[in-house]
Amino acid sequence: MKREEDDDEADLLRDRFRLSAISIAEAEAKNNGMEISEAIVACIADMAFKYTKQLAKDLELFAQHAGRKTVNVQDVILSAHRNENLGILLRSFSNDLKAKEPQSEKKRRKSSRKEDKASSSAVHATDNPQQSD
Amino acid sequence: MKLVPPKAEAEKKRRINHGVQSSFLRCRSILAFVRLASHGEHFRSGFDTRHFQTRLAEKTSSAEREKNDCADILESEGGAGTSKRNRLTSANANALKLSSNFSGLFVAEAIQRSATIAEAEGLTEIEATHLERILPQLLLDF
Repeated sequence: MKREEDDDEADLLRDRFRLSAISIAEAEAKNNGMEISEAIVACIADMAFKYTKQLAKDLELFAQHAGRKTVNVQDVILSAHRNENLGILLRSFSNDLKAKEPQSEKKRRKSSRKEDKASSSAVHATDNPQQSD
Repeated sequence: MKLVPPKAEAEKKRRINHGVQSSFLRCRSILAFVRLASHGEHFRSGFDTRHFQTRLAEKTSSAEREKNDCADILESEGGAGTSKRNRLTSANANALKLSSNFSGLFVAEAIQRSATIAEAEGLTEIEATHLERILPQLLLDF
């Protein structure tokens, strides 16, 4: 049945999510110098999973509302509206991500232009000896 | 999920009012922490969670359509055919990274808040009672 497959997939996702949540939680706790019992970390991980489900639903609704089929960075920033500092944090993250992108794009454009110039100069060089003949 | 027994409701209200101001301060402290940790474990685990974000989004969109008893579910998930409902929504790469940071922040914030309460009590181990107390304000903030 399809529902059983969905449940299995959900369990898989939940387990993997729990792993990454546990690593974040332990790093955070060591930073504060506190210890955490495993049960509580599991609780937090499950809660975060449920929260992410809701977040995904919200993002989908926002994208639909904007008439898009792809979730945008703006949608994510909008879903942080409850806490102002959250919004500031996310905006700084998005700016960092955007700052990394245009560098790679400019490098690609420069390399492609150099390749075009090189190929065109090679074409001219091969043309001349043929004409002289 | 029942968290706090009804006796402690007045106490809870006091803590919530206190929590509003303190949560803002803690968010700023988390800014510094996240920037430090961003090159470390957070992004490593963030890469994993990003992969699940897409699947989660697909899962919730399909779950919604199931709830609405749409007969065109199979066709829309196969990607072919025409249906009145919208098909699976995908997500931008940057949006995925941001939302994985989001859920990472949720976990980090929960632990930091319960750690401060545990420190205030003078314990070195975070217990369930600490988590219980920060929970309502955390859910309201996120």
